[in-house]
Amino acid sequence: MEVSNVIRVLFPFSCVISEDGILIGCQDSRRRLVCVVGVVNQPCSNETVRTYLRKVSLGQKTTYPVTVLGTWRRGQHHDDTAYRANSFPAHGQDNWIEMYTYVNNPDPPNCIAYGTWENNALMMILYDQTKFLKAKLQNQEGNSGIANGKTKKNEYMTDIDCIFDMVNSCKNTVLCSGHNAIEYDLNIIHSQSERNKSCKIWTLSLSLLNWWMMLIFSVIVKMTGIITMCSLCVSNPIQRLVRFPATGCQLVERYHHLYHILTLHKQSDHEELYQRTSSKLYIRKGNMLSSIVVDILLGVAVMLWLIHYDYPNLLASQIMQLVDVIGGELQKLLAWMMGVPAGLKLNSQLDMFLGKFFLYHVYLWLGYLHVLRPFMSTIVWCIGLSGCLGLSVFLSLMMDFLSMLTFHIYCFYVYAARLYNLQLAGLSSCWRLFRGKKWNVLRQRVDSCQYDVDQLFVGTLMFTILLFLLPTTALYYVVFTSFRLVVLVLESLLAKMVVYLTTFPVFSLFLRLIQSDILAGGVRFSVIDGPSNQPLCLSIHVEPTPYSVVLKQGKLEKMDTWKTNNVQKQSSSLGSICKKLLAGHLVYPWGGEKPKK
Amino acid sequence: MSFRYTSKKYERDLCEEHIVRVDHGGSCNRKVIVACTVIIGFILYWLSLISEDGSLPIAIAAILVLLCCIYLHFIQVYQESLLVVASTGVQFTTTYQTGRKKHLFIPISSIHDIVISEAVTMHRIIYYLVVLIKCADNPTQPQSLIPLFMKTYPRIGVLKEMYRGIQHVLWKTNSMCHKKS
Repeated sequence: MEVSNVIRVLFPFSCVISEDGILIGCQDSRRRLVCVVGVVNQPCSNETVRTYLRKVSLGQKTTYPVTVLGTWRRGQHHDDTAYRANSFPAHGQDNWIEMYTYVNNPDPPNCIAYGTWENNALMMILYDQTKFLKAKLQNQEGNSGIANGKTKKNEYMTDIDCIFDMVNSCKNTVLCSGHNAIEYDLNIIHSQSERNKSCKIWTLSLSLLNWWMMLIFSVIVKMTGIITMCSLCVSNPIQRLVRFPATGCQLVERYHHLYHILTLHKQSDHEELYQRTSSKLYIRKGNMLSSIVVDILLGVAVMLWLIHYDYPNLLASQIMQLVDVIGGELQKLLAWMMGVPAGLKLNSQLDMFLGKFFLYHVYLWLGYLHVLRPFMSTIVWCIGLSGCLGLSVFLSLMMDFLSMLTFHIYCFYVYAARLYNLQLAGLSSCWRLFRGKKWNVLRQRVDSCQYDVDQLFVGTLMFTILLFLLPTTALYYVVFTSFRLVVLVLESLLAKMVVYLTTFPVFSLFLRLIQSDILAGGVRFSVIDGPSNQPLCLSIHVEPTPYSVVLKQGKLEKMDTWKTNNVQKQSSSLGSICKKLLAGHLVYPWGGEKPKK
Repeated sequence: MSFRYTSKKYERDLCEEHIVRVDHGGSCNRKVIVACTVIIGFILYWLSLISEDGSLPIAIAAILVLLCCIYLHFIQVYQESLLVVASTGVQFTTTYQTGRKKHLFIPISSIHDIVISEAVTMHRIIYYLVVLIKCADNPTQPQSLIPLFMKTYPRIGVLKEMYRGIQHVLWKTNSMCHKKS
């Protein structure tokens, strides 16, 4: 890392109007960063301030200890040269800063450095202390830092991170312990000094509430958590069974969220790392909790709406009618396909066989539905009631219900696809035989091979038969695959909605809308014009994170808990699905193959 | 597109600002768009007064005004500026016609270098400034590129002037001096 020669002095806006005094703050001499935190008003000596600072910072481990930096003067007139007296102390300090301004000065204060810094160029950066204290820097590196459990090393930190760190490390020592300063008869001027006590009571009550909530939650989790977590996480088969339907999966997901909310604070074992990542954990917890709350509110609203207009009975009867109609239409379609569909000349024997096979299946299916009919309204009612567990649970129950109702379509699809796939495999192997080649199973490659005349004859015959039967099976395959795809599109729409409901970062968005200062996405500099004999003066502002980044980060944070979930995974692309469809491989609702290791 | 280039220098070469402002001579400038929208809006309003069902022209006018606002607020760029601060970093600001500003600050610790790059498009060669971002693992190799002034595309002469200024401010005050062609 390059070492710069320019000394950058950070000075809070709120201190510009303060009376004469001593500048306190912290510095990073390697980066040449000096951060003024406050001004201790006179009369007081450097020694009292030093002992006070030593006492306050006792027992606190910070990277940047608060020290005395220099003097602050505020004269009455423009040409008050008496204030420019060199007050560089003879002992103790290598570096000393002197800043001065005068009353009603529109320009930024002037700054002079002494000691080892005397020959370096100076740059003043004015900052808004309240905003910097509130701001939590949201950047990508921080997120990965949590994931890997590593802290960023000091060398790789940018100066901006460093500034945020400096301001926040001073917070504990100086800004939040105002009562100590009165004992020493010191009057520290900083942005926090004007806050009244009602604010403190408010934060105290909030933290008490928070503590109580945590206690109650942790008791609940300890009671239910140990048993369920053990059974869910340790035994894989049970977990699979529970996660097979979308509802179970969603419930497990929600449970994990609750569990995370209560245990996230234990994740980081290092104190320093915890300090750095606590804001992100807080936001993450808030996101999880808010998504659960919003989910449940929406679910209850939908449930009330359904029950108020007595929709479950109506829906049940309509669904039954619809299913009956679909069954009748399926029978008609099969009858049409058993003839000469669209003028296609099919193999009539195979066509009749397949048609009868599927017709029998439809018949079985209709019988099953008649058994189901009396329970239909109860099932729909139950699904409606599940709204109080959240809209996502409601939707995933709908998904399961849909896949149960369309089970026959799934069966048809599987039969047709298997048949088609088998025929294609037979055709391809016969085509190889046709060319005098064969598939070597041991070496996983195509070898050339010497065939007898009999083998060649039988193979060619088989090839011809398979080729001429292909259109018949292909027709059935195409028809049932299209049915299956319609169902799949419906289900994936529902699944997408569930995923959005579960991963939508409501809390982050709310924070961004209400208090955009908290989610700091970066900083913004602007130049303040001053007299030409003064050092360059910039002002630094906290820039809120853009909405797109807020949405993306909040979402990503939650997606890592979704990785274990294989039902809602949308990993397969359109191209791979098309390829599978052509080859006759099964297209599952969850996109097929498991990820290769 | 025509543009006007200005550069400001601050105290002791510690800071420099390069501003490229879109000149209001072109066909798609702000006043023409606003004037057109207003005129069409008035015509539609008049239409709504004389016709029996006046809701459709009003709706069209509202959509038109909304589109105009969106265009000026999100798409039409007023100026692009680059603030170079010695030993701190560079800040690229895009100002839209309505005054909305978008900032991008790149700290100096993640800048590998700033160079002029050229690209061949369908029918011409364009030049632009590019910030080379350091790779986190291997600091000697640039990892990614951030092109600057992509809305205004200043000419090569202006870019050369900017380049000299940026190199002077960024690396001259540094202990190690970059020597790049």
